[in-house]
Amino acid sequence: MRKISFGQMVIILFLSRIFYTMTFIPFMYSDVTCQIIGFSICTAIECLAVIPMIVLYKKHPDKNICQVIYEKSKLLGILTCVVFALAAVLVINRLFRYFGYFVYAMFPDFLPTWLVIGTVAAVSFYAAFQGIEAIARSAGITFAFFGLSFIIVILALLGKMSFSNVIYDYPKFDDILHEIYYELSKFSELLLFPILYPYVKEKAGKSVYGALALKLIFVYVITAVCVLTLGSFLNISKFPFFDLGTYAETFIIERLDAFLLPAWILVAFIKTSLFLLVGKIALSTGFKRVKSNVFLLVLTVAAYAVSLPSVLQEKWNIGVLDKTVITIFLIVLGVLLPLVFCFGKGDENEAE
Amino acid sequence: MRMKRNRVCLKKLLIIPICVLFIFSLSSCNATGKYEKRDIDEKIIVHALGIDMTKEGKFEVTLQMLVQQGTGSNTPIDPSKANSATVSQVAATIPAAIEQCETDLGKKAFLGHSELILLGKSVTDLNPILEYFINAEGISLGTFMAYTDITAKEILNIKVTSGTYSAEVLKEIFEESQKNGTSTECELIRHIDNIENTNGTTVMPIIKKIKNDKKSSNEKEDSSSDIKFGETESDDSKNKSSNEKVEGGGGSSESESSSQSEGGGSGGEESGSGGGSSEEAEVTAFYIDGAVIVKDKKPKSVMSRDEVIGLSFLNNGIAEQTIDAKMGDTLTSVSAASVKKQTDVSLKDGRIVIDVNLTIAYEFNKTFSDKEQKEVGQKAAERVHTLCQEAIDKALKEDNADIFEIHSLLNHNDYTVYEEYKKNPEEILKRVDINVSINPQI
Repeated sequence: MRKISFGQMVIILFLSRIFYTMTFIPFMYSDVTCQIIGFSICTAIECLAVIPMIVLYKKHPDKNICQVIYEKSKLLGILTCVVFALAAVLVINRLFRYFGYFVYAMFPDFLPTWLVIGTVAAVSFYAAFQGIEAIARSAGITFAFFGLSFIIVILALLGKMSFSNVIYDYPKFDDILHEIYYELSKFSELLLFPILYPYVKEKAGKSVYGALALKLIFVYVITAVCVLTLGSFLNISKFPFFDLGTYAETFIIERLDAFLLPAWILVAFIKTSLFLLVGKIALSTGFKRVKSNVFLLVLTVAAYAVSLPSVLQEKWNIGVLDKTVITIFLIVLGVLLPLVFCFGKGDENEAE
Repeated sequence: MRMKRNRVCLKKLLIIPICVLFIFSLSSCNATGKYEKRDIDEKIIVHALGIDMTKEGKFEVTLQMLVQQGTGSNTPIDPSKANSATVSQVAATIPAAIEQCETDLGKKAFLGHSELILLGKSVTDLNPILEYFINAEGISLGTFMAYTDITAKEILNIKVTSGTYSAEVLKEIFEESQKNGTSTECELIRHIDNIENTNGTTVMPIIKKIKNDKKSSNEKEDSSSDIKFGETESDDSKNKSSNEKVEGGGGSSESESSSQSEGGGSGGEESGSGGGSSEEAEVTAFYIDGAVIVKDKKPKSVMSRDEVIGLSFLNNGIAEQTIDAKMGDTLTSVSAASVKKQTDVSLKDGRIVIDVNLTIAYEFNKTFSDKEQKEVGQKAAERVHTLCQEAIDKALKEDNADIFEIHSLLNHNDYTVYEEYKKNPEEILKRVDINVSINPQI
């Protein structure tokens, strides 16, 4: 089994979360203050939520959660595998819809959205087909590109930031609760880690905290830059992160959104391929007789087919039901199952 | 062996759809699935938009665009002629007018490189305009938005022969004016931000044109106090001002031709002859003079140049400004090299008192003794104080408009008052006193 490094795992987990921040921050739904408080509380909850997964990893460093459960109960194992695959399809569906919305809103004349999403699905299929190592390397390049383009945009915006743009509201309890719930539904690292940790060479447990720390820093910085630069425009902006690029200018280049665009596409591609891979690994654990790449193809087609009606009908935001189902899956698969199966005797070759 | 062959075959097969989909993506096909070639010369690169209102309440949109035939390494360019062209259309909404302009030219307008949105003095309501630009595809948030004392169409029809294109010159004028405080911040995002925070209040600079044959360049065409914003002008005056008019296919269509004649390329949107009318030749420059106070998203009153400078001092928007200081009978001037602002908000007897302390570092334009420097500095400080007071009297006392970032100061200093401000800004603004003190640094 080809393995990835600690750093690559951190980047993979980080990129899978930062996609939402890059694509769509609905500031219009609640105030920035509520968002930041909700985000901070949610990150603290996430730090606690990953503990059962880390304990499970320490006990079974070479087996993913599906393998652990399958060995104890075949039926429950198969069920877990199927639910993991289903969760992966739902996460990709959400990604495709957000991605489609961005393309639809920003480039309505250029490309049919179904084709753009189809291209992302096809490329992600190919990346997942190549395996975790190929995705991890691509993620490294993507992270470097994302970091560099973001730094360039921030430098170009320094002169335009002003503290007088900051207008805050007293946070409301209901809004904070909504933000915590909304943020939790985006915590897809909970699905990635229990499947991918056997592929990490060392310190897999710490990689989750590394990704959470990185996420915390980036989201704080992005929010601060958005608030200081865009001011109350945030309340009506559909894509604040992208708007930073359209507002940033240097002596040579008039607008820098072109810097953010490739990074954003690459992040979407990395996230899709990761979840396709997770679905493939889960299903091939439960159904050993079928070739794993068949599952990959089925998952890609399923994810595309699920999102296609919404894309064609231009229904971009996912509904309450979708969000609730994803959140339930995240909690069950990422917290409850590891919590149940982290007790008992572990494997001999304990990690770290 | 057979399985291995099948795998290789499958890999090859998979590569094909991926490549096909990529080619589909890269070659721009439109939303209906038809192939549509989209080279850059098949788009109108719009540099400036002008918006006027007709008597019937319709929008007259003027697009100033780059004439691509006049540029490029292989095309001879006559630097004495401008390479911009304009097209105008009238419609009930802004997108409809733009669409008609596109139909006239047979090309799609690309607003992503727009640098200026100019509002004619007939524009009475900013709401539909801002709504359009907030949702407009790809428009830069840094685009300048300003008023003009005539029609936006007239300003954009003027062919500027310096700079790469006309809108670039206009933008540079705004940038320079912002540095010395004669223009307020006029980026689209700042207007949206102000309007969002203050129930529809912002301030927009006014751009005017100078005619050099009738008057000297220092002499201005109009005084800002004479202008009445929000009034549509008669069709006669409109016809007089427009030049090089070429009647289009539709009834109200007016397409303006470019004044850049190119060496050999085919016409594109160029339909008229080069040169220009007599009025066009008269105009050599633009200047910023005063600003329009917009309240409830409607133009309310006009600020003079001095009041705008005072406002810029108060809003910390001055990078360099020459200030006159009278020493006995002689008039001298000093440069305000840097301005530092300190603000304190307090409540006194039911009044909201905002103390603004400006520390201004001076640079002297001629050699003075220490005593003279102090005296000149003091005189310049008095002058700045007068300018600031004029701005306060005009905007706050007369118009009750929040163009001094009062909402932000209240939000940061007294949240209870800020909440009251959100409910009833008019009442709160009546209770605001701004005290200015100037601390000259020699």
